[in-house]
Amino acid sequence: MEAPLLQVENLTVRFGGLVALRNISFSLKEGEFLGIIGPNGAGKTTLFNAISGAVLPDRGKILFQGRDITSFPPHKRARLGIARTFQTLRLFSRLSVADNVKLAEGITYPIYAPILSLPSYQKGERELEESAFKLLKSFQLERYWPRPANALPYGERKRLEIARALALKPKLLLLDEPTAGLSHQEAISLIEELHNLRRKFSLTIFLIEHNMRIVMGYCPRIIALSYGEIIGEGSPEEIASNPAVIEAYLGEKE
Amino acid sequence: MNLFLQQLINGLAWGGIYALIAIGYTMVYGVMQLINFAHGDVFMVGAFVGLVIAQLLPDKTSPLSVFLVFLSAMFFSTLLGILIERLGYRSLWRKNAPRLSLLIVAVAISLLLENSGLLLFGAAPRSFPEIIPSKSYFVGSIIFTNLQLIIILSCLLLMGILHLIVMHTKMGRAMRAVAEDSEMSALLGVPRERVLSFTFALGSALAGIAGVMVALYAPQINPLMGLLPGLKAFIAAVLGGIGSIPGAMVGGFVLGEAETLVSAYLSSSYRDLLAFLVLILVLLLRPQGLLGKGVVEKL
Amino acid sequence: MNWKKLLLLAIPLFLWLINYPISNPRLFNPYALQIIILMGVNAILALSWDLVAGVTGQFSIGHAGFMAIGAYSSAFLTLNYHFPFLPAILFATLLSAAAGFVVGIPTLRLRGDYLAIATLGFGEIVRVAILNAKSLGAATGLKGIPILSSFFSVYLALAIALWLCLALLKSQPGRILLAIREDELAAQMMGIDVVKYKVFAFSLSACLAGIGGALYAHWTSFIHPDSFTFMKSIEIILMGVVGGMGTIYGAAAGGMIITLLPEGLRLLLEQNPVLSQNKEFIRMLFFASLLLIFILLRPQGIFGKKEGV
Repeated sequence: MEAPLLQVENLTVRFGGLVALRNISFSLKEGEFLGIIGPNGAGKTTLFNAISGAVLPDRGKILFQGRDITSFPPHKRARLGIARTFQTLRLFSRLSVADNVKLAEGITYPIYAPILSLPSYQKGERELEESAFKLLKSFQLERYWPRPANALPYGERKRLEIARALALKPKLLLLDEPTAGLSHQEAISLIEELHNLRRKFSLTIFLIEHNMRIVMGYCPRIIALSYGEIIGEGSPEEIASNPAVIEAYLGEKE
Repeated sequence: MNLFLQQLINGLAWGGIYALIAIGYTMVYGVMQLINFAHGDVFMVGAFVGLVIAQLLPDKTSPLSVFLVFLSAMFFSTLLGILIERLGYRSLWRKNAPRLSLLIVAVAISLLLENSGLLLFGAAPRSFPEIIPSKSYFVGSIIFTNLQLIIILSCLLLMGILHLIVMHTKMGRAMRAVAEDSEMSALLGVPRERVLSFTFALGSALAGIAGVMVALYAPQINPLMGLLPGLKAFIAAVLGGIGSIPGAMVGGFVLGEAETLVSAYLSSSYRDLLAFLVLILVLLLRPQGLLGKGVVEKL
Repeated sequence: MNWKKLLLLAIPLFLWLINYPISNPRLFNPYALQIIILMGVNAILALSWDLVAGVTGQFSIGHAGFMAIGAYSSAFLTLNYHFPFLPAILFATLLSAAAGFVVGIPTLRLRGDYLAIATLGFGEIVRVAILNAKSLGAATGLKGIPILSSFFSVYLALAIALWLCLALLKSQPGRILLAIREDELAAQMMGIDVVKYKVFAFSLSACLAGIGGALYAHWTSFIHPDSFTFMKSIEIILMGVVGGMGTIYGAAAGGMIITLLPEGLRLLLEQNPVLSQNKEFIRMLFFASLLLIFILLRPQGIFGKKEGV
């Protein structure tokens, strides 16, 4: 059998005295569309931070394609194929839409090449330009090409952030509440777009989502988190009938 | 051994003074993550206010005069601290401007104060009147002066008072809340701007007192006197763990002692270099300082 | 060969052609030449600072240190070993770049204001080290440095520096530096080795500051540790801020403006004996007020665009 794309083993993250994640273990197979739910403060974003390297775990291991990446710095993880978006947008707001995407594509020429205007630089920039355009076009964002990222409408900025993450040519895409702040209609169309992207780029998607209807309707497998622990895992039906999940959510207004 | 003890005692007074200034840096850093470069100059202003008042008073050495000198230095430096916060930082802080801008403002205010001082008083050092006549005491072969004693004791006293204010008053609690989590404290109704003013006032009051102490101890003052002690006090704050008040006290004493020992046993020309070396070592090896907590960036 | 490349070749030619008449005291006022040269040197320094602070978002208050390294190392070679100017400048550039590299390393651990203090410490350490170095003239300074800088060399260096910054900014490394300024953490998450690029920015910036220092030393012919104090670093910051942080042309123009303005001020002050006695303090007061006014009222500088949100 093939090794899972991502494997998290006994992950524990503490902030001072507060345990944000306790003994989390799960794995993600290639091509999966996994959703993660849980009340506020359950540790969902912390889990993403730990996987992407923004936070170092106190205990446990993270394996990506069978490789132990627990102590890798964030940029190395990104280059290996873990891309993410943020709950609150973190675009490079004063840079153009094109630059936001180009940036993530990496660099193919030596750092001094532009100063000497070497052919490798000119070729490299042409390639960046072409692939950025192609990517933005697939998101219908190419018309904003020269505009600063913060001049875009909110919904488009969210999609630009996803496009930027895809510019890394990732294998695993971590999406932190991509539909937050969108209308129901926009949210549905975004999720459907994500499904298409997953097929097109053979992606594995791991999604934090608050909208229960979306999670239940679109994620074949779901993990439920509460107070930093996994309280349920399975298909939408299994999650919906899991007493621990129901209890965790009964305390909340949802 | 005796020489060593003697140096330790000499270092204590400087340590206390650094600690008093360092507290101001650390408190401001705690509530607004800003290195208030102008803080060292508030200390200088304190010394000059002390000088002016001391020269006005007829009977310089009476306890009342001493009290008045300290009180006025404290009052004017407090006022200055509040003004700096109001006119310099607040609008940028409200706009959530980049930290770079706040730092540049800090540097600019520092230059303004120094050069206004130079314009008013000239660059030549002025000797400070001896408002506390010097007395020396011997314990075995170790000498210490009444001034050293007064400085160390009043530093400890002031730190005690500060501790009470920070831990046991409403404003102190608010300060700690803002330092802990600024946004959250605002949501919970902590009047953040008043806390900022209060923090600047408190830090500046201590700096003003430290200014007079240095003036008495040195006993010469000049408009650029805030520059180096200011930087060193900042380094002391970093050494102790920026944002931590006990850290600033510990850092101040450690740096004061280290400097005195270096100039006694190596050479006094290394004295000023030491602080910067300490700084770079701390930043590289233990950026959270001796007593500081690790910093977690919010996502 | 297209017209753009031709134009690029024309610039040095043009500078070389006007170098002769402008350097001839009978044809051109030497005082004006002095100011024009200092404007060029300061434009290079402002560019250098802008690369680290305006473009990469890393605050440096120790640029006088890099400048001092460039000035002293090149002057040491030309004065003692009769090096020709170009190799001396190249050596100075490499040495300052190495210093930039060393200062860049702490960025591994430091962010924002901590870095600022570290650069300040660096500048002070350089100055104190020179003050104690007998072979560098210690407290008496270095005298009799051959005057090798000219209008041609200064403005050619400025043109190269401008070209370098503009080329960089259009390219992927430039974009990456800007991204680090905008959001360091997000940049890391986009696969950018932030430390490597910060060190790169520091080294390149130090290079430029070193060239500025070398040109300065070989124009004034006398350098002293006091020429490279904290105040000099502040002056460099002021140039960058007034021109507009992150704007390449703006920063260079800021360097020129901040050289020119105090000259006007000086002419005014020298009419009055009391004021002229204190002209150094008044100059610094003027600088400080300008810095405050710009940051509080026009943070984007003269040439920066207003941030559209």
